[in-house]
Amino acid sequence: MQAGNLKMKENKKYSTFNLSDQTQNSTGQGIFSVPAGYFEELETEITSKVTLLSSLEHSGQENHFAVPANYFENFPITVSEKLANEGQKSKKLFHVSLQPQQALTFASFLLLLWFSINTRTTRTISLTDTAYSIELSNETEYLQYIDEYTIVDLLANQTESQNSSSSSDSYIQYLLDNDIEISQIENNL
Amino acid sequence: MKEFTDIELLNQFRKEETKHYAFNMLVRQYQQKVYWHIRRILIDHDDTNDVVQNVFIKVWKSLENFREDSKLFTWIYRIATNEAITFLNQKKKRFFVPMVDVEQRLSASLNGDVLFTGDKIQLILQKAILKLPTQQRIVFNMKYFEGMKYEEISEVLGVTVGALKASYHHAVKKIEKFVSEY
Repeated sequence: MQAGNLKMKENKKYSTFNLSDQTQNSTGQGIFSVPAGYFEELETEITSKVTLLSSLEHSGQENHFAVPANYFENFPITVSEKLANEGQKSKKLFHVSLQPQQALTFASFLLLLWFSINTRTTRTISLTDTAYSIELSNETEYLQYIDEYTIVDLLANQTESQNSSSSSDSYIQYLLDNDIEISQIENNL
Repeated sequence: MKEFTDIELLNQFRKEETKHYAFNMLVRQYQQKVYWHIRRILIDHDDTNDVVQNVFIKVWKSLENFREDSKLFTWIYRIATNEAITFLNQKKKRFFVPMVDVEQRLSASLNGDVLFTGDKIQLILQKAILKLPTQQRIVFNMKYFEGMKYEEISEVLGVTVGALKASYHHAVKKIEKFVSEY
């Protein structure tokens, strides 16, 4: 108990010492320092912020946004027009509606497409034709360098082979018509 | 301009011969409220104009099926808020930027906006509001600028009054902090 009282007394002494110390440096200049002109600026800053907040309280609720001239007078008409357009759009949902410029572009595209397909087909034909004609002209040119005997021989061979094939056909036909078996002929031979 | 009641407008809209007239009256009656509500969210006039038009087109398409569970004004406000939020989200997706960046761009656009007539203080306030999350920003605008009651805001946004009060309180604190640090 006594020890406790002693401690309290010591504390009191300590705090008394501190307080007196603080009172000696009541402005705090001895411990801390502030930038030059700080308190003058602080006063101005606080005053301006208070003014700002109080002016917001008084004028804040006013509307400070503006609209173009006659905006609200014309607005119902704008909405009506938009509604009319919306109606037309929904009616034309399944119709193809083209502006003249769009129609022209579309027509040009179709025309180009047709030309492109058509040109490709023509080119193919002409290429074949050219190939054919080149082949033909080459043959014709080649014929000039072959002597006529070779040609005669070639034609004679072709005729012979045609005849031989036609004669064998006639033999077979003959056998069929007369109901003659090939084995019978073989036996006779 | 004569103010029409919800019932008057709806009755006239449901008759084929007065449908267009009733809709025209509805647009005239609510266009400014809807416009300013959306403008405070989107900041830019052209964006707002597009969205307000879409809002009224949606109203035209859906008014036939309006069940009168809420006031016509609340219903239109709900459409307007949803459309504005959707527009902001689309903008975010279109430019592949987070919402914070979209709002920073809006904040920057205020500096040169000829359709913003506020002074320096108002500019600071708008920039502070644009720092808020979208939902909090909408709550703040509806309460502070539009003077709506928490109950009305609750009907539009589908959020409890308690949550709205908390949201507004946080918004005010954030704005005060932003302004005092500016």
